Amino acid sequence: MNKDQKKIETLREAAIIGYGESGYELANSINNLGFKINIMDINPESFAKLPESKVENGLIIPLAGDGMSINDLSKLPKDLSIVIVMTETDSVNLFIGQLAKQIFRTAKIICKINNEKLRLLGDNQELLAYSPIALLNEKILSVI
Amino acid sequence: MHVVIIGGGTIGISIAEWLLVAGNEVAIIDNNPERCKYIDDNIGLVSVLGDGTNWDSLTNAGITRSDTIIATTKHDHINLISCQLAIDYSKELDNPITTISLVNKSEKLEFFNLSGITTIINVNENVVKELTESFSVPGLNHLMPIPQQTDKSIISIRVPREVGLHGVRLGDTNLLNHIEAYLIITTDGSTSLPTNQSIVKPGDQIIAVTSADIEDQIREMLVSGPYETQI
Repeated sequence: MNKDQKKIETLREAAIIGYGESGYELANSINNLGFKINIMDINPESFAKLPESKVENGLIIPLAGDGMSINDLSKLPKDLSIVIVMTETDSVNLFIGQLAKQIFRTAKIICKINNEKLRLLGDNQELLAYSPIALLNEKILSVI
Repeated sequence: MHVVIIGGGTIGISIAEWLLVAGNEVAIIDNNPERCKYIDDNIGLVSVLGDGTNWDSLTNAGITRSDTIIATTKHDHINLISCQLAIDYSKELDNPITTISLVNKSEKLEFFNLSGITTIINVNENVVKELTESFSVPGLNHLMPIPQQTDKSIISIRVPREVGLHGVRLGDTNLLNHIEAYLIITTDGSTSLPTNQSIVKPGDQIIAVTSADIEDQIREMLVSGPYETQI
């Protein structure tokens, strides 16, 4: 085992649930922050886009599974520091976020939720809810 | 009262019909236009085309003046979140709302129990219970506990079909070693006091008193047949 690989083994663990469009960029930047990243998606075909080298050396760990299943979520490492939930559907993300909160008690749970009402609900459940659309709106409003 | 039902499936529609007959106001949210049309055509104009996790749909269905929300979809996340939206809203108003939700996947039962929903119904458990009860010949049913005697209760035992049409003498089974039998009800409805000489036939019921700790033994006897040595 070389030095680099030893280093990778000791990295903190993060997880992305729902590997969609912006998944790769996000995985990259979380890697750069010093995390190994577990990626769970219900559709294993989405892993085809993952960079092979990172999967080989264990910086990215793909895992086919349903984020809405407690059984599948429990296959992720128990000591996750960060869980990012970003499937296509707001209500699914809010649901998975709450499940993850119960399973990974010390982790920060970040959920993509565009709907404002559901975002408030997420805040009340102590999830960190973010909305790409709201962020974009803010950006646009700040320039016009 | 006004009740919002999430999901216009078989369960949602049955509950709605029952509530309407009892004089309540009902709205059913379903995301399938055909389903909504079916509801409007069959039980009255109570459907709302929408999504239970969408606040606009919930307000269209009258959640703000509603006493109760019942989530009946086959998607656990929709059931949970629609109830949570209602709970959050009722907290703002300090006006409690009763929330009732189905849970489809048993593994999520504990999680739902932590969510603050008033009543949680485990779909699988209920289906299994119904099925077991429908197969409960032979069977043992609890009728009532005996007051002041915490370990004793009145039960009914249905004689299994393994006994054969000609029946067996009650005294030849070892049932009476475990129970105090008080009444035999035959399939044609006649009743008699049990003795060792009584003949019991498949489908007859024996009303008896027994203690809880040997019920399992009795159940096993009913399944494996305590009568095999007979006739």
